[in-house]
Amino acid sequence: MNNKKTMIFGGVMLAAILGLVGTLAIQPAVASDDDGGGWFGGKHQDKGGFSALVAEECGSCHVPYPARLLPARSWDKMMTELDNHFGDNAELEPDVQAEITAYLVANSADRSGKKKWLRGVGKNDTPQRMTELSYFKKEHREVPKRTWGLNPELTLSQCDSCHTKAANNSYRERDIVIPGIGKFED
Amino acid sequence: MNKQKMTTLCFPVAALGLLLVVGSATSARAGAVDEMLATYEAAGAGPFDAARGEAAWTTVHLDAKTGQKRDCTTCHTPDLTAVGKHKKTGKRIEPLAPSANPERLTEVKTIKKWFQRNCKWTLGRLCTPQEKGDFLRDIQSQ
Repeated sequence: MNNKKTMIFGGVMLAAILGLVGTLAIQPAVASDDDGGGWFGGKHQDKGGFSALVAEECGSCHVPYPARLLPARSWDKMMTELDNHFGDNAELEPDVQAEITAYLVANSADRSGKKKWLRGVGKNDTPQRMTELSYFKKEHREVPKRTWGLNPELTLSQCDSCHTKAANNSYRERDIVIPGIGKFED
Repeated sequence: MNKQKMTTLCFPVAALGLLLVVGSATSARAGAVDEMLATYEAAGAGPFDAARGEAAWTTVHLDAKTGQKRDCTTCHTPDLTAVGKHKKTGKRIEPLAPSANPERLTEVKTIKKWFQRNCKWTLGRLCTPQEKGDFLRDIQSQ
């Protein structure tokens, strides 16, 4: 068999094997509920910087927002009011709700050391909208005004419209691309 | 091995792999939908009708709090094979029709979750077992 033939043969075999493995994987994926792993094990298996559970459950309606932007008490409050989640119903099964709350609390602004997000937030305040935080506003003051005219449907809550790696929980300045404008220049 | 022989050998192997994947999604779907329908029947509902589900899909409901008009097409569009868009966040919603998205209707947990959330948002109440069965029959047929 020459090289080309070997490659074709290998490719076809690989496709067949992947098909078989994929088939077998469907059943365990349903059953692998709890193996007691850490935040990025078990249900929270790492999915590009996020817990896979958070990426799936929160990420089905919006960018899974970074836990580090709100204090633990805010997450606690939000997660007990999912029947009216900013006007939407976002109810979860009790076990999933508990798992996600634990993740958000453990990675919150006050527990993860990202206290800059809490500037101007009172000790007992429970802010719910990240876009209303003073540090968030300060950070986004540099967005050029014409951005909004160019993108009439864009809002500050659609992180991934400009933060190209938001889906990986990464918000570095060098990854910012503003639609219609381009890379962010400091 | 010559090329012809190889093709005759490889094709069935690859086809088998592909069939198994497609087949298992189909059977998972039949399993999940059957399980749901059995639950609804146990609650006294049935028989279920895709046409009734389709009509309910575009029935407009007025939200008591906001005064907004809502129906299933608000986010999912009238075409179940099309990509939808979350009304508020603008996030992409993958097609609901299994013909366009084989992952649909394969998990009981997922079906339950979205019926609960979306019936409450759209109709302002939980859907009845009869309504859910009709919706499932309609979606399944697309």
